[in-house]
Amino acid sequence: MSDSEQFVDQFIDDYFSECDEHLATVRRVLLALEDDPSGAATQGGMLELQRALHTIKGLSGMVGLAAAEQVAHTMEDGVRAIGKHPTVVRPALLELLFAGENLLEQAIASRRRHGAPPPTDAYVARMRGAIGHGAGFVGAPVQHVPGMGLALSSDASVVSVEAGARQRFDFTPSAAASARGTGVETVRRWLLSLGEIVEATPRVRAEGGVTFEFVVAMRRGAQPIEEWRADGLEWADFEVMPREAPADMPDAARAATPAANLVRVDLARLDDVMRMVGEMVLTRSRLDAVIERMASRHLGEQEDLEEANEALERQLRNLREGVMRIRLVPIGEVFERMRFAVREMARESGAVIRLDFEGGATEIDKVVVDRMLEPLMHLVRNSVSHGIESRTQRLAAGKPAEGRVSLRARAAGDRIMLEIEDDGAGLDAARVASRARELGLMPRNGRLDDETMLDLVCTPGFSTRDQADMGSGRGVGMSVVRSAVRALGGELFLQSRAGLGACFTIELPLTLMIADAIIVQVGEQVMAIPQLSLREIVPMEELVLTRMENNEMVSYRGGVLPLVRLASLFGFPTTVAANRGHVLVVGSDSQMAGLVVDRLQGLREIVMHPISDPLVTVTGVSGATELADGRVSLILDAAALVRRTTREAHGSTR
Amino acid sequence: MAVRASGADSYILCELAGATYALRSDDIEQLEMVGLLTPVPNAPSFVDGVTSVRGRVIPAISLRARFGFERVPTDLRSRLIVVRHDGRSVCLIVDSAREFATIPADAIQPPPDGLAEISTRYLRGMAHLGERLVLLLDVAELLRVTSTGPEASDATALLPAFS
Amino acid sequence: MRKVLVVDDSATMRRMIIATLTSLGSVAFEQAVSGLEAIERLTLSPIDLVMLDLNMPDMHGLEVLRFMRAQESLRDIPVVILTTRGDEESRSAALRDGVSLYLTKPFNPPDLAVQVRTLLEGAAA
Repeated sequence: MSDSEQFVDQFIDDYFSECDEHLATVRRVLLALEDDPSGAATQGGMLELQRALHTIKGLSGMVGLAAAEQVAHTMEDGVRAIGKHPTVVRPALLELLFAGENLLEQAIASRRRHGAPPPTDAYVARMRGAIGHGAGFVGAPVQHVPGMGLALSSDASVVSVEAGARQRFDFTPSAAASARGTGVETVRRWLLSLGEIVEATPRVRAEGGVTFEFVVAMRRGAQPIEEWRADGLEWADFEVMPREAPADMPDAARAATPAANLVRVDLARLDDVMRMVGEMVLTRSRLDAVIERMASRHLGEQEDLEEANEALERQLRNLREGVMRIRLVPIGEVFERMRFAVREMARESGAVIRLDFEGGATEIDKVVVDRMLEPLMHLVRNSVSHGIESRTQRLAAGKPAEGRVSLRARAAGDRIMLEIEDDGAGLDAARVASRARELGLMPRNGRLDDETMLDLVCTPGFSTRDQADMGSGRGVGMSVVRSAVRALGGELFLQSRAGLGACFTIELPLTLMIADAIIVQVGEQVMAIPQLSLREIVPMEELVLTRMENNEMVSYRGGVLPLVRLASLFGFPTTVAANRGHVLVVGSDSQMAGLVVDRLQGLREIVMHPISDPLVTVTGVSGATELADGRVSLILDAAALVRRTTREAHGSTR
Repeated sequence: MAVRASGADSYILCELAGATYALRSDDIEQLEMVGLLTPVPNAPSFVDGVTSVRGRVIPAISLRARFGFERVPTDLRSRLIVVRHDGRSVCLIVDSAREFATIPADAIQPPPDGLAEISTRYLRGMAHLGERLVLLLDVAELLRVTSTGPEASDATALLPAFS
Repeated sequence: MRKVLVVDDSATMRRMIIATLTSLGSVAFEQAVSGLEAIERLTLSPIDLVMLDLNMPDMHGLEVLRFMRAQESLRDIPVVILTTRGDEESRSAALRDGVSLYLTKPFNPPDLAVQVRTLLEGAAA
């Protein structure tokens, strides 16, 4: 590897993550531009757009990704042309900018995969052509150095200023405020929460030092906070001038206003911290064991030690929760990406689709968010291309011509629910049935309830469309959607109503990594099962065992509970008689199973490590944990074991 | 793989059933004593289980079993060599590993065809170090998974990258 | 120990610049994400050299340069403008306003290190 390659390699992850941020800005502003034909309200957005592209260009140049550098450069020219000739060239240019964003994503993705970048010459030529159509624009010198002291000097921002009251703020930085973390950037963010900064000028004071003079076009009703004065921000008391037109920021722009005191954290570093917390949890449980041994010898200071140990446990729990909270990000960003995808699909198919969001502020683990992007995208695409009927069909069915797709997120305890609902035709049961018959997968009783339909469409190779269309042909299949959800410890559900629409629900854990678990013994092996997945533990002696062909079951709460003897499933020699041991009841109301273990060892807080290496991925095992003796124990995947059991039970009764 | 400007890579030498093997230092994360291994049901026969290495749980391959030799109980001289390849970390269990050596690129010959003990597919080549014959191991081939069901491969492709 | 102020709104770019100049040894860094913050850093602590980006929110790099050149206390601090290709039209304005070096990104790390070293040594002499 050459020196320059090594240099680039060092920063490539930074590059990817920063580009992701700027691309999100690009998408947000492009959508806002499209919604706002006059362009007046999005002037600030235009500057933001230009800067995002400019930064992508600069960074792509540094990492030697010429394709991205060139596309970003071309798009910058396109953005400037829109600014110059708003009406003449706008629709065509906007379309090209959307295409450019797509191409940029592809170019950057190609680097991620170490693949060849997409060709860009044709795109550059098209953009040049479109810009050329703006009368007199050809060869015009690019002039974008703003004048001294007035950075946002564009006409349109002046227009929006006229609509609101102006207020002057003076900020004098000091070493003391700086040490507290308050600097001019903090102040800038405060002021952005009040309105638009139209002027920012440093002035040298006679007694030395600098004062920053800000002029802010205030949003209606915006008020500075008195506490800011303590950090060196000054303003004269003022009246809000009553005006007819409020200078309200558009939603998109408000969403862009950075929250004060935001810090970007590398996820890998956070994982390191989490690992350290995990190690501390482990050390503490060793301490537990020592204290217990001391107790048997009646040593004097043992009580103090116990107290300290308990305090440590509480603090560790808090620390762990604190770190986990840092990992949470709002799901709204992912929703925004869906808007973009739906827009593209609607344009390709000519359909009219309305996309609604609810609960975009719901926070979810960053890793989960990243892993859910593709599956969500697939479900939304499915809704648009398979769910929503054609305009004629909709009108004939008495529905509004405009199709609706809703994305909802909400937290329920320690789970997150994501719903993707459309008001289309629902899953085509007849098609699913005929395909199921073709593949020999049709249940004997011929009933196609939602659960069965979901199982069928999630079977690899199952597709009710004869040929993949553009919309859902890309990306992942339903089987991969479900695997992705399950890999994160979640589950996928379906509710389909013929003629009325379909709703997919993804249920996910809010956070990962640490859980309370029951430690059990299976043969000679110690294993763990998360307490949350347990419904009940029943001693074998209290149950009446019946055998049916190769299956064992017990009557349980008025029903029958199929049993899985984990020792024999895993091939471990069992250490207890068949009518001894304990049954762990797991599963949902509709699908339950009893896992038979040899012994119970107690409740422990465990740090969960995913087992991701293909050499050791095994059905029924979701991960591993390290217990106090340093030995690794496997964690049982209750959901997978239930699925396996129900499948087998079905198989044998057929 | 790029060859160093000097034309020589550094290797760690390990012993297995009386023969000397070499692993490139660049492929190696660390060396550990063999600790407690937890067997994983239904894993390939050459996988002795999983173990915890600095906060991560990773599989351990018995190189003896991988090469078709008889397994022997581990002792104080046994080592876990943690290798990294293609984003995966895996432990290799060897009889011992104590030496480092630099092997010039031009001293490496292709593996002989009729090598009796092990299949040559795990070898990148061989070299003579003084009197000794050293067999250079191919980490990619050692870690290759021969059979996984479609569900397993789907799931692993989408598992979160925690490590 | 010389202190270099790295002004760029891209965190990755600042990291790249700092990594490059770290090779000079005995250099400490301050960072600013905007023109305004650059001025704040300059007035709060002694700086020996400024690495300055041009296209930044609310205060353009050229304005930072002009402000510095108009101040007695900041006038003699060397300023290296490091801007993305495509801003070449700013070059003559920057030269008129007394920039010490005008370079474009992408930059070559070893070259940049050598050029900045020369400037730092010149300023020390």
